[in-house]
Amino acid sequence: MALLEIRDLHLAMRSFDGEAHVLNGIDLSVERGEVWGLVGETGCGKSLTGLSVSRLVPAPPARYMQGEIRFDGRDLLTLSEREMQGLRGHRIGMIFQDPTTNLNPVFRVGTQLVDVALAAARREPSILPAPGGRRGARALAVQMLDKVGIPDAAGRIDDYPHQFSGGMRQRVLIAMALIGRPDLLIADEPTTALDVSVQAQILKLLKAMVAEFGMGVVLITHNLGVVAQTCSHVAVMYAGNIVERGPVRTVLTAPAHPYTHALLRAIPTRGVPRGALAGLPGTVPNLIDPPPGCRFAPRCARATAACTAAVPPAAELAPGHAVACLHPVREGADA
Amino acid sequence: MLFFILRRLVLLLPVLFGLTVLMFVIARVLPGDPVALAAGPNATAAEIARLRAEFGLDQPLLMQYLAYAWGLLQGDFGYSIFTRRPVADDLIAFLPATLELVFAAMLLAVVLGIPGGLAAAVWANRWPDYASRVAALAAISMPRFFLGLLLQLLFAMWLMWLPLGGRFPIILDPPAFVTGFLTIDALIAGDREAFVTALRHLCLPAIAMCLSPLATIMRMMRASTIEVLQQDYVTTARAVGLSPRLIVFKYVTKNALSATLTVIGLYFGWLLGGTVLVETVFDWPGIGLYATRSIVSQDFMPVIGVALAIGLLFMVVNLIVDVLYGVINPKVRYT
Amino acid sequence: MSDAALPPPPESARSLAWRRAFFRFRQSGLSMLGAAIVLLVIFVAIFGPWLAPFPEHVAGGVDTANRFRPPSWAHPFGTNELGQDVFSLVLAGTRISVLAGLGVVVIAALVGVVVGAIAGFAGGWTDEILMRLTDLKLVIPGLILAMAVAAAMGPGIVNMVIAISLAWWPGFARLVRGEVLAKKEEAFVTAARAIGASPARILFRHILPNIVSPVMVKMSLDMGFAILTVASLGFIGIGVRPPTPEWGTMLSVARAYMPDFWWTAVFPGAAMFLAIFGFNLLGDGLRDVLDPRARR
Repeated sequence: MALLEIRDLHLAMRSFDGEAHVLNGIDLSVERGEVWGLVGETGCGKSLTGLSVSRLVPAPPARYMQGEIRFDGRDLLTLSEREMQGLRGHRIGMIFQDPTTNLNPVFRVGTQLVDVALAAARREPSILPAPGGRRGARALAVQMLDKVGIPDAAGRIDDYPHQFSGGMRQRVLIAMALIGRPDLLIADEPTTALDVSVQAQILKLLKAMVAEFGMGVVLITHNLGVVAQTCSHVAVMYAGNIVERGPVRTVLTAPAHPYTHALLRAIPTRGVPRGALAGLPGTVPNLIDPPPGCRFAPRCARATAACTAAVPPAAELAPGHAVACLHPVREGADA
Repeated sequence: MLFFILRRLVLLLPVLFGLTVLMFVIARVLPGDPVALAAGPNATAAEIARLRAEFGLDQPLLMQYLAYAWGLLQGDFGYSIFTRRPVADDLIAFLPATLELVFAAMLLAVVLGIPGGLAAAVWANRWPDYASRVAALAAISMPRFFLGLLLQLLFAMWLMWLPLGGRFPIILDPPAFVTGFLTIDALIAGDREAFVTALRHLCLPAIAMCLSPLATIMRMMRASTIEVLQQDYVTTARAVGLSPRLIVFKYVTKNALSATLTVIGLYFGWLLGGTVLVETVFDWPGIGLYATRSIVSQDFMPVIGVALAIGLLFMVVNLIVDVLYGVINPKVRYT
Repeated sequence: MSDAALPPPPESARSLAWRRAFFRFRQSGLSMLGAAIVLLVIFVAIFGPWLAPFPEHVAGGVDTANRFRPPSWAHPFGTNELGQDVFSLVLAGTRISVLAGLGVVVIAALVGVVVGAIAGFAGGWTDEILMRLTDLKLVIPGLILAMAVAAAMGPGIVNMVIAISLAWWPGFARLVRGEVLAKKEEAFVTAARAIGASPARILFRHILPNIVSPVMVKMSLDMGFAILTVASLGFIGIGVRPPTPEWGTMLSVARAYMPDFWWTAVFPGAAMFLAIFGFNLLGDGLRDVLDPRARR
């Protein structure tokens, strides 16, 4: 049984101008030990997908029209808020993008970590070392800070967030997400707000943590480089749909969906002459009034009438590699 | 931390100086002639001149100010023409009553206002919040003295539950002077009857005074709590599994409190000024009543003394609020 | 090709903003209530003397045979210790309070705008000195300052208004200074300077029109409290002289006759509360609508 299985998830968000159909049938399956990159441009719905797993999308403007999110077999959409809260931190961890605004500025880092550890320990007391209780939680917090690479963890545990640099703060947030020993980690653009050099360190850290704890990870990003570096699998999203998914090498070396293909082509490499950036004509569709059928069709050179008739189902091209396209790009074929 | 306090203290001095100059200017620029009034209608010119010289009112303005300022530094606040006592003595005699009233009112306002604001924010935009908004607006629109009058009508005259006015009945012996607060002094002396009596007299004036700050503190707390609830770190706190109760009562409260704290400090100062009205209605023997009676008799030194005393107190309160703010919000300490 | 075929010129952005604001205002029941109360108050303030059933009492006439009559058809609010009709007095007092309050707010706004604009625009030493001046006023509770000045200047509405305005203008000065400082940095000011506009022109033509909105909001918000302060001073015994009817003074006199003749205090007080409440509701609603930063 998969650790996380999202099946045909549809999400609508009410806004001033109408209801936007932001998730249009998401299918995703994550096993332990797999690091899934969820890639797409801004507005494609990847963050919402991640937030949906933790059920942190505010319910009144949001409406889950259909679908399931199965975690360890249980459909998270049917759980009560209390039950959900029990899972958060303890079995499902989350890291967000901006380390500056995600730590409470008026509390010491140690206080926040200890509270998280204690909350998780209520479900799983064994995560706390020897004395248990508050002291055990504190010891665990120091341990975690050390593990994520904060020098002099014992000395810094009583510092305030503003006393850390950006990269350090993100490490603290990672510690906070993992201190409860979750089985699934959702990382929403964890390195986007950081310098490139720090980015590399954080990604390395994440990979080490994943290996040590044996977690399943959903890494949300818009940066294909990050995906190539860190992920084992990748799912490409466009306008609320996962258009292609599969092992990272396969998808990145032989993209089948025209969108993925265009994305990869747009990345400038060393040999590309100046001024020859290959962009993609058109813009993302309006989700309040989305185009019928395949949402990429208006921008796709390969689109036919059949594409606008219905949303293309995901078809398996090879084991584990699925594409939601009626005219996928064959390897070595047209550019 | 100590430097922080010292720095704030030093900043007080020029303001204090300016305050004395201002009050002095007002007093001297005014047309009235307190000496003639004090001397009575039958005084001869010579007697008036003698009185004037006695009070030093025949010197040039600058000399008068310098003499006054020098006296201030030595604790001499001038002389009240009508009570025939040094203003300083009058202030010492009347200030505790005002302080007790203001403290009682602020205590009520804070104890009721902060939880009230928190609750209003948590249930924001539902009917209790809407109702509380109207109530708050009504509370600050209600003239304090009218409210006092109504309270007197209802509780003292019709229901006869509480005394009409005054601070302590003449027939009883007040408790020994320790803090100047009759309620606290009575507790210290173990005199239960005196405590209850003092409290009963304090009730209505305190309620009349507290309504306005209560409403404002509640609105302020509500606004800052709502703002805090929208912060990223609150979402993170939920994502790592902290319980809503913990988030609200431990974390959000502290974050929201800092903004409210400045309001509390400000209101303390305004209340000090506003005691005038309530003290008049309830015959409460504080500096407000003292100031009013002095003004009507065009006796200026007391008025200046009262304004100075209030200004000084206000500054001290602001200093305390600043320091507390530094305790709550660690980032401020290092500025 | 007649002109009738041309589409109407597009509405200017500013008038569109005003229309939208007005529409949002109408949505709020409370703001409309406030507006209704304020209109009523202003109506009474203007037409009070003609509406009063016993104008001779307003002018100072007494009717000692009719002292302390409880509320009745002839005297809806009863009569006071001089036999005067409380209803007429309350109506007449509306005019005093509204005019005095308006006077305070207008004078304070004018002084504040001038000081704030100069401080914000000139910057440097001028700014520092002017700001220290306003800071000082905030250290003394306004009521005490107004009391001192009013008592010293002697009785009379004009003196009272001046006294309160003296305590009130710093608030406006700070607001205007802040706005001017903010606008000064904006691109359109740099553009104006680049094409050689004089500082005065920039100030008057470009910056000042943009501060009208927050100043007006503050004026309406302050109106209620100005009326409250006027009544407070009246209650203490400073301000108007009898026989001019003023709510605060009426209340102060009525204190002595509690509880038996409660109507002499309750009705003036209720009128006071209603007027202040109405202005506060209106001001609150206006602020919600005109000042997007202060959204609930």
